This record gives sequence, C-alpha cells and structure tokens, in this order.
Amino acid sequence: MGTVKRIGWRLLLMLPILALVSVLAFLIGVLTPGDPIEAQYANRFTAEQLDQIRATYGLDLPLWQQYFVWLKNVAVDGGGISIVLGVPVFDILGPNFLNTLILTLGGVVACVVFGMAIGATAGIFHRTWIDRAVMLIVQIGSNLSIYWFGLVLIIVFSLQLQWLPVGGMQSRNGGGFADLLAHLVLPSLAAGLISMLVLARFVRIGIIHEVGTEHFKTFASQGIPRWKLYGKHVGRNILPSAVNITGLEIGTLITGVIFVESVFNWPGIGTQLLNAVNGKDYPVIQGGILLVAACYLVVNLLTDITVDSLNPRLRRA
Amino acid sequence: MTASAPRPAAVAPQPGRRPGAAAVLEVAGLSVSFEPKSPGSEVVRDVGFTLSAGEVLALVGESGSGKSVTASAILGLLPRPAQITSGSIRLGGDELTGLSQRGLSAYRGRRLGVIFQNPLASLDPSFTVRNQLGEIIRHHRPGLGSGARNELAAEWLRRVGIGDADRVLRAYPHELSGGMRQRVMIALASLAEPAVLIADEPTTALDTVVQRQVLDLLHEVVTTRDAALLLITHDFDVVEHMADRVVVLRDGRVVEAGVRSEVLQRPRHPYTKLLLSSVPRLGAAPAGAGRGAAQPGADAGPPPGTGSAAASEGNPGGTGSADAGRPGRVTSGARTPLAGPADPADLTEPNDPAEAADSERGELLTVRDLTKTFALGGLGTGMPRREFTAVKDVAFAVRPGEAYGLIGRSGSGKSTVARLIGGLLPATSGSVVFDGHQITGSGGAALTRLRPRFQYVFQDATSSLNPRLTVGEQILRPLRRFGLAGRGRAAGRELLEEKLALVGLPAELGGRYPHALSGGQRQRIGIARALALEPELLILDEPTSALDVSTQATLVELLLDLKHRLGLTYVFIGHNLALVEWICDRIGVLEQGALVDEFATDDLYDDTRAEETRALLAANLSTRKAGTP
Repeated sequence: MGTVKRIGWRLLLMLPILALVSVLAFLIGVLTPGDPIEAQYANRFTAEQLDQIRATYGLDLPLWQQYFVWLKNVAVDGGGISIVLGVPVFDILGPNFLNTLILTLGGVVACVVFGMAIGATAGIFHRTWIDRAVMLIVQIGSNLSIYWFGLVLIIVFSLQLQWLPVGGMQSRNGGGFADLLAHLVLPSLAAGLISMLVLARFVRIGIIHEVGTEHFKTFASQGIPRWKLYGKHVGRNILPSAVNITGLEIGTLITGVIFVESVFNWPGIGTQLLNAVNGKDYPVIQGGILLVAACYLVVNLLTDITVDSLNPRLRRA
Repeated sequence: MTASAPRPAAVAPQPGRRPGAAAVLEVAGLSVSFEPKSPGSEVVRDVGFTLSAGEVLALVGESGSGKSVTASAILGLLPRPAQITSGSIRLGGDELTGLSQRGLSAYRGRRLGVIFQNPLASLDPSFTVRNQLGEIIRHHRPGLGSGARNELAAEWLRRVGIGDADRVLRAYPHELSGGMRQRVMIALASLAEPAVLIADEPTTALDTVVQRQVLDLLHEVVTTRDAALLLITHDFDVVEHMADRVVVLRDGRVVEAGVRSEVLQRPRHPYTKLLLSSVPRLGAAPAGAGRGAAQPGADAGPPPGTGSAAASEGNPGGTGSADAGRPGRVTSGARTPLAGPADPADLTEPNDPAEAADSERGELLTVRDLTKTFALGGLGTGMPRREFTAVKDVAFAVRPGEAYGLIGRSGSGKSTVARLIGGLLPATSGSVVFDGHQITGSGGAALTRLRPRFQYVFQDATSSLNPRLTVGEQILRPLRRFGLAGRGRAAGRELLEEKLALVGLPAELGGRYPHALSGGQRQRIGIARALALEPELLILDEPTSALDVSTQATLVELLLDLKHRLGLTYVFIGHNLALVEWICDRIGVLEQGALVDEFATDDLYDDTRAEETRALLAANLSTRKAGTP
C-alpha cells in the first residue's frame, strides 16, 4: 500500500520536471545561433517571402506562444513539421529511436555484466596483484575515447579476426534475431565502456566495504563458506548502490550511444540529430531532446522504485 | 581433549582453574604482526592463557593493547596484512594455527562462536532475523526442514529472553533496539552450541541498563551449557561482574594474570593498579580527584566546594603517573596540581556584575518548557507525515560555577537538549535564556555575539576536528573570527601556547594534524578550542565516552581543575552515572524526552528518587560495591 502511494507520488512529481525539461528543450532548440529558414531558403527567395515562410512555421510569434504551439504539436501533431525534410518530426525520429533504444539496452547489458564481473574480481581479490592488475586496466580504459575504442574493436574483431560484422544493424540480405545480436555486440561494448568501468569501481569498493563489516565477520565466524558470503550477504548489500549507479550511468550511456552510432553506422536517432543540428532544424532538435530526456526520467523512476523496493527500511514503512 | 599436553609456560601460574575442568582453549606464545617481515613489529607478543569449560576469562586492556587482535587471531579472522608470527592456539586439543580458512570452517560456529562489539552492525541489515538464524542453522544442521529450523530459531530467541519470538523472527535488524539485537546475536552465536564463546566488548555500545541485562544473559547462556567465555573488555565493572579469571594486556603483552579477586583487590603490576584507580565508582570518586562531594549533610547549593576533599584519599601522585606511565607526550608538569587549596570565593565571582544583575535569580542558564519535535515523512516522500517528540517540556536552571549533569538512557533526548542549549538546533517551543539573553529564537548577529560565552565540546573528538587543518589552526580560528587573535604570527603562536598549556598539552602539538594525536589528546584539543574564547559555560556532550578508562580519568581531572581555576559552569551530558556523580553538583534525569528527576548529587541515594533514577542506579554494575573501599 505504502509502495503504491510512493510510486504515485513519484509519478506526480515527474509532471513538473517534465514541464521544466520541455521548456529547456524548446529553448535549446530556439536559442541555438542561426536561422533555419535563412539556412534553407535564403538563396532562393526574397526577404518578404522568407517572412511568409517564417509565418507558416509560426516563427514570427512571440517566444512563449511558439512554446505552446510546439507543445500542442508534440501532443497531437507528431512533434511538428521538420523544416528541412517537411515531414512530422516523430515520423523521422520514431523508427530510429527504437534502434537507439536497442543499442542503449545492449550498452546497459554490457555495462552490468562486465562492470559487475570486473568489479567483483578486483574486490574479491583486494590487496593482491589481481586487484592491482584489474584496476590498472580499468584506469586505462576510463581514459579511452569511445570513438577510438570503437575503431579498435572493429579492427580487431571485424577486420582481423572477422568474428563480427563491421557495422550496421543487419546484414544486407536480412537475417533474424541472431544476426541482430551479432551486429549489436561491438557497438554495445563501445557504448557501455565508460559506464561499465564506473560501475566496476563502485562494485569493487562496495565489496571491500562489505567484507570489512561486522555482519560479514559474524557469518564468516560461523564457518559459512566464502562464496556463499559473497553471493548472499555481500551481493545483496551492494545491490542497491549497483542499481543506483547503473540508473545514473544510463544517462551517460545514451549520450555515448549517439557517438557510437556514427562509428558503427547504426541507424539510430544520433545521425538524425546530428543532421538536424547542422541544418538548424528546430523541431527535430527539440523533439529529440525531449525524447531522450523523457527516457532518462523513466529510467530514473524505475531506478528509484527498484532501489526503494530493495531497502527493507522503506519496504515496510 | 585434556590439558595434559605439555604447554609452553608463557604465563605465570593459573590459580583458580576449577579442578578437573578440561582446558578447552589454550593459547601459548602467541605473536601477531601487521608487518610479518620486520621483526619487532608485533602488536601481540608472546600472549598465553588457558580457558576451561564453564569458566569466564576476561582479557582486559586499553585500546591498542592487542586484545581484539588476539581474539581475531583465535578466530582466524585477522585483517589481511596481519599474520600470526609464532605461538599456538589449541581448541579442545586441536591446533588452529596454520589451518586454512577452509580448515578453520570446521571449528567455526560449532566449537567457537563469537559476539562482536557493535550489535547495530553485527547483523545483516538486508535480511530478516529468521533468514539469518535460518542460514546458521542450515549450515550447522543441514538435515533440518524449514519448519524445524523456524522452531529451533524461535526456541533460541526465547532462551535469550525474547518473549515475542515470532515478531522478532519476522523483523529486520533495524526494527529492533540495540539490546534486542545483541540478544539475537547471542542466540546466533550460541545456536551451534560452541564450547568456547568469544565476546568482544559485547556491551560497550549499549547503555547501562541494557548492558547489565545482556551481561547477565551472556553469563547464563555460557554457564548453563558448561561452555567457556572469553570476554574482551576495557571495563573493570564488567570484569568484576562476570569474570572468573583476568588477563591484563598492555602493548600486546600480558602484564598480569590471575583470578578475579586477586587481580582486582591486590593488583601486582603498576599498570593494573593505574587502570583500577581510573574507574569511576558510584559513591566513591577515583583516587586523587573529585568534585569535593561526600560531606554528609553539607548544603549542596552553589557554589560547590571543589577539590577540597580530593587530597585526602588515594595517591596524590596518581594523576602524574597516569600520564608518565603512558607513551603519550602529555607533560604532567604543564598542569596545575589538582588538589590545590579550595577557595570558594574564587568560584562565585561574576564575570561582569552588570550582566549578572540582569540574569534571573543568579541563574546563568535558564531552560523553560523546552520542546523539540522532529518531522518524519511528509510531502514528496510518499510517507505520511509523523511527528516525533525528542524533548518535551524540559525545564531546569544552572547557576554560575555549577556543574549540572544530564543523564539518561540512549534515546532519552539528552544530546538533543545539549544541542538546543548550544543553539545548534532550533527549538520547537520553550526558551533557553543565557545570562538574561534569549538563545532560542534569536539568530544571526545576536546569537553570534553570545556564542563566545558558551561553548560546546563534542562526544567524538575525532570527527569534531577538521582532519585537514593543524589543531593549532583550529584553536585559533574562533579567536580570529572574533578578532581576538592579536596581530602577527608571533602573537598567534603565543596565544596558542597559552591555550594548549591550559589543557596540559605542549606547544609543539599545535603544528600537528588530528590524526597524529591520541584520542585523549584530541579531546584535549576539543576542550582547548572551546576554551579559546574564554567562555563562561561549557556544554560537554559525553566528552569521555570514546576514551579508555585511564584517559577518561585524566580528562575528567582536567575538567574539574579547569572549572576550579577558570570559574567555569558546566552542563555535562552522560550515560554513566558514576562519571556524572564524579563531576556534577546537581543531576537531571531524562526519560523519553522528559525531565523526570532532578536532585543535588549527594541526594542520589535517597529513597525519594524517581523510578528511572533508581533503574539507572540499579543497572550500574558497581553499585553493589558502593561504599566499600
């Protein structure tokens, strides 16, 4: 009962946040330097005609009116019409957005699996050479650029070893789910790299902390085997912070995905957004930002709910 | 199984072994080092003792004496770089040193159980009591079904005095009080019925009332099963209450061992004597100190006669040797002798006659109907808003030159009262008046002007000092803040020297960082910082609770001495009745946020005391000995 109420509150609180985000998304789009109409049509039309075009897009209205027009467009009109392409924004972003979500999900899986594994290895073997070696690799990895790392992955696994495809989302003659997975491996690793290393650090520190706690010693002093202690007591107690970090890292991950898409030729919204920025295509930029921000909010909400449900102090309040 | 095996004679003869009782744990020549490769770095050296069935052996020492390390070594749970460098540990005749963790597992729980110091931390916060007890039962008795496991867990909870076992089984640790958690912990450690139970300061984190219950329970659990208990403690009251035999450790070595009555009544080693003389006792202040109470029939009103009776008992040199006997750098010469001639006239002189006239009826601090409620939950948290009243309608007054004690169990609201008086927390209602000036409700400049006149010494000296600043800088900062530090470096250095000398510390310490000081020295710095602005009132929030007994004794003597010399007024918060009796002239007793009793210290033993006061008195382990020398 308490849980349902708490989630209800969180949902309610999302509304003002979403409103604020929409204002920011709108302003970021509008206030970027440059005029899309001029960029698009200046060499073909006279100044009066340009003003007319502006009027049809509603760009001559005061800013606050433009904002509400845009809100209405987002709500009912597919996010408005792209200035460059002349089609509804969500028709452009929609299908690509799904692809981006797939890649983000791949990145999250890579982040969680490898982050946990790397962190656990270092944490369990704390104060041995294994910990030092793993942490050195983590240190180096954290300083790599995603672009470069993506290219190295392609060179090693696609060109040299030829285990995995070079890029794209599907083979030319199509292919099933396995084909999609094969295409997904390398970009997911690249997208998840930084996040997995951040997570690994937290997992490692969490394990070191937990092993030093009195309750770990309590169960160790009763002769419970090590692996059981790690699996149950350590694992359960670092879980909330691991979930928390993963949730926060998804934000970073989405940003990374947009770059990774261009390295691996992944048909996501990243390419669309880059084009939109170049063409000063307001509606697309605004719609894209809003979409990503909404995703981020949803992820945050899910993270909070999960973390709360893992905390016995809140579960029964 | 028997103790007939030849044993390296590490310790002096062991009187008091019950004839015929088999030695279940034999430790001989044990040395432990954190740097196994460099000789001479041992933190435990050549320690040996034996423990027989049905016996309670107390391993006593101050922090850093190696008592906890010894326990960890026996359990095979030494922290990573530490290693046993020599010696043997035999449990029921089996050698434990050299065994792998896997090898040790066979002994853990079944033959050797342990109860750790902090009951708040020794249960896993993420699992219910049922789950945790169940895990232990499943490990030791794999054949049992889940119904039988629950039955056994509930049975053990009842055995450790938990009436509503079913509720406790379903509870998470945070839903239980500290005392309850320690009972659960005792049940957990005893489930597999080990022959030896090790308890590492099992009651240090509990208040006195609960402490006694837990100790009695522990005694019962051990003796009814004829198991042996190795009790690690720094508290001689606990030793006296529980132990059959005592081993005193200092700097990792055994300095004295013997049966309890021998060691406590006729200690041979000077270190043991020092430790014993430092223990505050109800009805008898430790040697060489005292607020000068114990004059029967004397009017206990202010001003109190301070220190007049101090020199009559015990050894006057005791305070000096307390410092000299320790490796610390405290110079006893810097300190004014404690038991100086008392001149009551010194104590009452008002610092400013005009202001004193302002204050009501000669009270320096007046607290009226003080109430503090905290809100829990509320908007945005998804939980209903609840209010929790921590302090309720508390009223008392402190006269100049007086030491007023506030005592109560943990959670009774005593620290909250201290913070309200100190203007560190806003009060919900009621008033705190300091020398005619409102503290409650006044903020900003008005409060800032008053601040130098009342200062606060915190419970935890370590966390109340900034680790990144030298302690000298921390003492001088408040002075600079009020423009009192003088001009130039030399003036500052001179001031600092003066402030450090006041608390008996040499001037060199001013350049150090907190981590380079001992616990006692840190608390002295805390006091020096509070005294830097020459306040009239010090609020002392359990300033000695984190310190060893001998350090505590010297610190209390310092406080009494400062009060006498500087004419200070104290509000002293404590949970140890003997300590409060030692320092304070009047005592207020808090129970669940309300002041339930208030009396002059000499009336502590009157029949008219409130129930809570008598409960605190009864729980004090040394009460039985009150009055006896």
